[in-house]
Amino acid sequence: MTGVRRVNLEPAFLLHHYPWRDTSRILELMTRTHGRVSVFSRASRQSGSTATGGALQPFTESLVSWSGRGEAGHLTSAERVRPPATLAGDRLMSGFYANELLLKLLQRNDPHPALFDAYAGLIERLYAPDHDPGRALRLFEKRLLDELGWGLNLEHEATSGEPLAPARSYRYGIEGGAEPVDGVAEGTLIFCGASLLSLAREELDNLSSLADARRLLRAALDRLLDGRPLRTREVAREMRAHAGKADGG
Amino acid sequence: MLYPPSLSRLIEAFRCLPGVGPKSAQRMAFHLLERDRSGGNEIAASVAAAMAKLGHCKRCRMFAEGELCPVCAATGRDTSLLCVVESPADVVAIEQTASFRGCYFVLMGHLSPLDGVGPAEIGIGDFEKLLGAGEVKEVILATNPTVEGEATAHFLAEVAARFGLRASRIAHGVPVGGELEYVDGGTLAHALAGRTPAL
Repeated sequence: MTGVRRVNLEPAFLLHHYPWRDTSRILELMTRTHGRVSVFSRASRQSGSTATGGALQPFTESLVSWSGRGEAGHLTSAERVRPPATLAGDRLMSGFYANELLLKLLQRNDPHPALFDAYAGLIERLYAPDHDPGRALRLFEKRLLDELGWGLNLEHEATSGEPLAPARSYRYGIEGGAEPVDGVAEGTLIFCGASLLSLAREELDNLSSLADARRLLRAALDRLLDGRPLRTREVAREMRAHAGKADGG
Repeated sequence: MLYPPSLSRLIEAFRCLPGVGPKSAQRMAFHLLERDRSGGNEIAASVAAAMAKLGHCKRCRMFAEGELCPVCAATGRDTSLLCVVESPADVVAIEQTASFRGCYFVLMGHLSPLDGVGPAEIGIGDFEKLLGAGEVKEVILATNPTVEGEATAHFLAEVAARFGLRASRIAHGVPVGGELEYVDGGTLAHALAGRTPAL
């Protein structure tokens, strides 16, 4: 029999929550040193009291304490690290998208402190009005792949090991890496060397490298998701259609 | 199976209620059979009647027995003022304040991208039809002050803007009779941002 486990004041973000019984919630948390965990939170759907999980809202870093045996513990306290701000529109949808990636790709109780920091960085950039949310998302996606062990080789050719040349075109195989192509090549996974290097250096400072990074990372993530659709992508598309906006991020 | 078929079926039927497992369902069934037969008949009759008669109001999506719910059918309500809420319980909560004379639109939920709940699930088609009819002049967004509720409000405000309509968000603030010391920081920040003239 295992003893009662107590975790005190652990930095965490709420990724998702489900209603449970009349007033409680099951919380999916991304924590810094315990990875993704699920905890029960009693009476947290009533007003935002800090003793219960009412203080916990997505996209707000909190210090969370929980205790319990086995898989899921009970929340004992949650306090916000900073006053909550609000995300809206595309930035909010970007946040939901990142949460869905973490929920679908992370195993429970598998710590990834560096990924937690990358996520915290993403959320901070989404709140900052002068940061491009698309660029912030691409950097997060890249670090997510790195952290999960599926990092992309963006600086050298797959077979020869030669450094990539900015002016050349490459065909990127998600399994292998970049292979040079001669002449004019068409295809979804053809990229210019400059774009791949820009993603490797986490610069993404122009539109074409951003668009290329989006295409490449999407293909890499789709492979990892193994056919599971991302609901946030679908919902974001429908929302844009109704709000009369063009397709984006 | 140890039980007669009709008893097994009754126990199985209770299990469709939220939070009711096999044990609770069995307890409920025994209670009705042993101690409260008339209550059991009443449940049977009212469930059958409700399932047969109740649908959604074609204007506001509230539960209704005919085409329109009592609020939409009532005369003397201000049809130019539309209050958007998440659930029928919210309509009842606002009605009890007796301070709103407009009409409602019930989303029956909120946008929840992670659960795949998108515009179609919250009845955006009906909402657009209602705005397109031209009667509504102002939209009041009374979704919950949660991240999902705010996302829903923001989205509906964009849709309202497409119809050239003014959309307002209900205020968040200090509860009446509350003490500032015990109000959480987020609510207090909203309360300060949304302050109103004192005189």
